[in-house]
Amino acid sequence: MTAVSTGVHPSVVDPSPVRQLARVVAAEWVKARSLPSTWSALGACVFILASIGPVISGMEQEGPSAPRSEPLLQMMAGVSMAQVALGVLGALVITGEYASRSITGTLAAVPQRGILLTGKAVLLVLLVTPFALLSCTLAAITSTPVLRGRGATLTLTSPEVVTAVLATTLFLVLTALLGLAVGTLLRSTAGAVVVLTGLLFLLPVLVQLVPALATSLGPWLPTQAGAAVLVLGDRSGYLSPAGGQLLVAACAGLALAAAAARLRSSDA
Amino acid sequence: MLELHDVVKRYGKTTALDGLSLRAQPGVVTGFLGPNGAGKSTALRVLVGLDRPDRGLALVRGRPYAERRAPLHEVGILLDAKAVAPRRGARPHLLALARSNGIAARRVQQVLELCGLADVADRPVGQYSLGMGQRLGIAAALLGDPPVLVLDEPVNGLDPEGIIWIRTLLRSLAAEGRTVLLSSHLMSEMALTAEDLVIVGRGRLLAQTTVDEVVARAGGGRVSVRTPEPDRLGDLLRAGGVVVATDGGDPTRLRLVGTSTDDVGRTAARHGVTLLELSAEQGSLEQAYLDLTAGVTQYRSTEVGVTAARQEAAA
Repeated sequence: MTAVSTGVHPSVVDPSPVRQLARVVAAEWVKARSLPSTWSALGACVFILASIGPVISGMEQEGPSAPRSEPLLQMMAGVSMAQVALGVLGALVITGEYASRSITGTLAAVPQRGILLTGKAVLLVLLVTPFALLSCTLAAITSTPVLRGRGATLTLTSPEVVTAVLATTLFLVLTALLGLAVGTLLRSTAGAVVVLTGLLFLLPVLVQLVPALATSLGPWLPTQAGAAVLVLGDRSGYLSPAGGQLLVAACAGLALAAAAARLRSSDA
Repeated sequence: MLELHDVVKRYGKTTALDGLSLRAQPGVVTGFLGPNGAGKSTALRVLVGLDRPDRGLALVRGRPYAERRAPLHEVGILLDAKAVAPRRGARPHLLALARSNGIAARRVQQVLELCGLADVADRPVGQYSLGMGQRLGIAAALLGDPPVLVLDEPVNGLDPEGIIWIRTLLRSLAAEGRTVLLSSHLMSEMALTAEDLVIVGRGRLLAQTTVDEVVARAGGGRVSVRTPEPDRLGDLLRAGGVVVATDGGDPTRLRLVGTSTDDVGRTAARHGVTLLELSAEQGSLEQAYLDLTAGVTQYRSTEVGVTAARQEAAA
């Protein structure tokens, strides 16, 4: 009736942790590709970055309260929305399993919860990196001509543009990992969407409305820290480029560590 | 072989498992029986490492489940058949489980066919009926061709054909030498599927016994007899300490309590009383099971058959 029915069942030798991790990544890939939400989030990221960049790049910025003219910030203007899409994608990798209760089957198949979370994180990086890179490259391709038309001296191969593409790609991947951590901590898609939208999208806007906060807290917000590398002119209100990326990486890392602790210590 | 040793599990102030010990042997279907809320599901969750016990030990083939890195090869689990992402098909659902434990992709097709899901394998699971969902749960449990199966209420929501299918499948899996632990709150279902029985109530073991034993107990020494001389036979039996009652509808029938068909037959032969019919009355299985769980409120524990199990463990 079944493939093996000898009546003798020798114990299966456990795989090494590395091999188990590779298996988990393969399993997570099957799960991610079989859900439509994965492809809509990645598609949204590509569309947002490729389309918002040239629009913002072409806008006249006038008046005393107008943002400083920063071509790379304008080119990557879609990041503020795309990061929410990717953060939610990262959260869904695990909150989707809590919503359908399939997390019990997953944890029963992979009792080593640290390896499970690592596997999800690795899959997320492998999945998001090419799409983030594509999104940022398209943003550069569509925005550079517009910016040049407005007097900027940038080309696709300018070191500043290449740096902007790579750094923004890294920032988006880190945001997805932050989303995974938030999702693991909250175990709820709705909760994760609220927290991620608030942290990545609303808070930066609100903080800019309060001048005192804008200069003190503003630079330390993940979105603004991640954008630090895009600033070419006046750096007031921004961390150093490396400092900004480090802060975002530290945020994602700490959040993932907290998520791992919660996943390992709590009942499923 | 599955074992729980003195497992305590609390959720806040609720004590779900209160020192539960039980075992399931290879080669037989073990029924895991108890009223709703008795701690069956908690015990199974602890057994497969989903919940951590506050005290005690849960072992699968001599090792804690959570230590294994490819556990689906050892234990097949059905805890909640509908716990599947509704927009994913059965095939990718099973393939993901297979990949995580290094199980070949062709095995997915095998279990899909075995469980009658091959034709619907790519439809979103959210569109499945309860019965199809249950079949998918069984398919997932069989993925690793495991020597041990743990199934929580697998017949829930199945149509009669599905129930017979599952019953036959589980018995053939046990006959291959596998350990099959099957939970239910229906004694009648257990009587048809299981051989060994573990009965729990309020998180404690009430009885580790066998279906045969409960069936025998359900008889309870009740005998029904028909004779042309009911008064004479009644007097003879009463003299031997048997409780005798007449049957309102049939004047030739006597209902006896506290004897056996053997004794009634011998008594009748000794005194030359003609018997028209002699049979042991099958009491209700559900009643016998309810009798066993009746003492739950007092946390009484009757450990029927535990001694035998211990001797086997020692051997």
